[in-house]
Amino acid sequence: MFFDLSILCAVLALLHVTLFIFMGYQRLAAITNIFAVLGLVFSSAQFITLWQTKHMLPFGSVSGLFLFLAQALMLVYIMMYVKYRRLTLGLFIFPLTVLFVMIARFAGGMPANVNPHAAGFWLYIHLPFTIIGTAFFMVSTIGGIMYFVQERQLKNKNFGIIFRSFPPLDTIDKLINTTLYIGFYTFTIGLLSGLIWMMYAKGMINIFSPKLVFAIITWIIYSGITFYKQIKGMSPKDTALSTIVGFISVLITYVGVAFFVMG
Amino acid sequence: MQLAVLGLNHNTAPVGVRETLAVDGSELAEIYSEIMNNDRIYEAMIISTCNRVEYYIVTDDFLCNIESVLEIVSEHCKMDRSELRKYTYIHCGEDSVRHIFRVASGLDSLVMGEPQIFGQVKDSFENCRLYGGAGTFLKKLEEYTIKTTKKVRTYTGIGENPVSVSYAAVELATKIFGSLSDKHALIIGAGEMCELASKHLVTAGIGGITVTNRTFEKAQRLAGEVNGSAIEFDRFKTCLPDSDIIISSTGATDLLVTAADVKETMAHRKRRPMFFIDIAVPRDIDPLINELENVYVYSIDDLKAVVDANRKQREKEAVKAMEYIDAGLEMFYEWLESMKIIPVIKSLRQQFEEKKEEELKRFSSKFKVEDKEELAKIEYLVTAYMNKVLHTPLKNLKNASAVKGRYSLDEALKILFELEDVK
Repeated sequence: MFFDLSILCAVLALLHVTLFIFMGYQRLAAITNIFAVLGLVFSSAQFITLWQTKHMLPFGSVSGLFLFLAQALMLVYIMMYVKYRRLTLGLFIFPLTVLFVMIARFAGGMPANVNPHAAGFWLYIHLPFTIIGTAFFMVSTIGGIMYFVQERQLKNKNFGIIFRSFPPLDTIDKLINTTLYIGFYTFTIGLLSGLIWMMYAKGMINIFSPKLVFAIITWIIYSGITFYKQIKGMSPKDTALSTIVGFISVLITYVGVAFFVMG
Repeated sequence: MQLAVLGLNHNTAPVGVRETLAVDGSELAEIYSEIMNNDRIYEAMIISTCNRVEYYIVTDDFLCNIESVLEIVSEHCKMDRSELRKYTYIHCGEDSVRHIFRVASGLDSLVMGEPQIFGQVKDSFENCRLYGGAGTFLKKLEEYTIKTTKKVRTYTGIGENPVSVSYAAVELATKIFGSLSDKHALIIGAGEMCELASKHLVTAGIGGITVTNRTFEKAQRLAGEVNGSAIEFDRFKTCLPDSDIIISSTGATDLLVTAADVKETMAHRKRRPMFFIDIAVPRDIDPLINELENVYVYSIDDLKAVVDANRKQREKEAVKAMEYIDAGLEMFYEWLESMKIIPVIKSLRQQFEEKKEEELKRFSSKFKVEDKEELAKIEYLVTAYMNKVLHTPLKNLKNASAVKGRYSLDEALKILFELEDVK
């Protein structure tokens, strides 16, 4: 039931944010956020239900992974709304949330061959941190796309609905920076804890594991972006572009490894 | 009792007529007293701004009494009544209440959504209290006008999207930089447009302003007005790397800032965005600069396009604002309906008081009660009983009067005394 309620809330939040952009009623903004918070509450309730049913954290299943990613996205949206008061972000985040909860809803349960002993402490640090880091990277990429769209509006002098409803370039840049740095530190914790877990579970770190190779490439790309920004400074447009490049490596890590390398 | 308004504004009268009819602060007392001399006008209020002069009256017969106001106005401004009628409009009843809500919200203003009118309407209500024009009706109208206007300004974008070129330029800057508190502006020129834009920048909280002009004294004067600094005209390019916003409006016939200048500047700025606003004709800023990355150039024509788009947006917001105005109107008329019952309540109470006095007199003479203390106790008891008995029906009478409906006597009795259903 919580699955359906989470999907319903995310759909309603998406509907209200769209109406808000076209109609501009402030009440619609409040309703959007109520549905976003309810969506997070229901998806969390569903996550706890899965946890109780399987007597272990449901990260071992596609369902659990996508549900947690949807939760993390909702959480990042709420955090960024509190900080920047920009509803337009929801226009991009809510469809992803609907998609991820639906995948979680229709994907199978926990695979039968999951070894509960393998799921030690470090795995439970590794998976949530990696997923939360990915959610932050996703939002920074959304910020990057928004930056380019708004930048085009300003350059081409289009003063339509996108120009009015999208945040100022500087605000988008700040949002990208915030999500990029938080994402990077969270992802780093996730990667390190994953290495430690691999060492405990398999007795060694298999550096030829495709997942690890891609994850390290992703980490190198993001660390390059963050360190370059810190040391040399980067224009907002280049930062926006770098988030898109960075996220392509995240996609390769997850999708590429899962479907092409692992078969 | 109903509200009526006689007025003229920028749509109905040319500026010359508006000037003649404008009411100066020193004339208010005299005009208020002339209007209030009419016994059939119970309350009155005058709004006089540069774009409108309006006389609101609370009366029983608006047709006759508006004529008397027209006469006072025509005498005051020495204009023939028939001539005056050509420029004026009259609203009465709901239309006049809706009109004042529209006026206060800026929907009837020359620049739609401008905020100053709200303050001017509030001042007019204050003057009306001061000169004895306000009664229960106008005091309540003031309360509802303020409430409705605040809702319109909070929940619609009627005041957003600037409709003046200089303000639109500043608004565009905030669309690039967000907050301007840590940004620096360079103003090239010290004419009227530059002055206006600088003042808007200061209002928007700009971090700092540098002014340059061919006549250095003029630059210094403007810089002094906006708490900025002045720089000689031949050195202004040294300020470019530290300037985020550049506003230019000079009479120069050649380009003052070229693409090569900005290319060099951007290297120093680590490609942080720059915003150029060129209000000059012919242009001061090379339009090719807009081709450079992270640099945005807006000319006077671009700004006019922004203003046009904003004006259209405000018109859309006005439709939304009317929903709040109609809701405010409905609430005001609910209150007005509930007020109709007040004389009935007063007369009922008076009747009870008279009967009480009568019975107390009869009681004291019949039972020969002469002790004043004892009589006071009995009176206290009777009054308390009377108040208790009357409280519920009077409260319900007041509440029910706001709702239009017809009841049979037994239904009315049940509603008034909150009686249970009798089978």
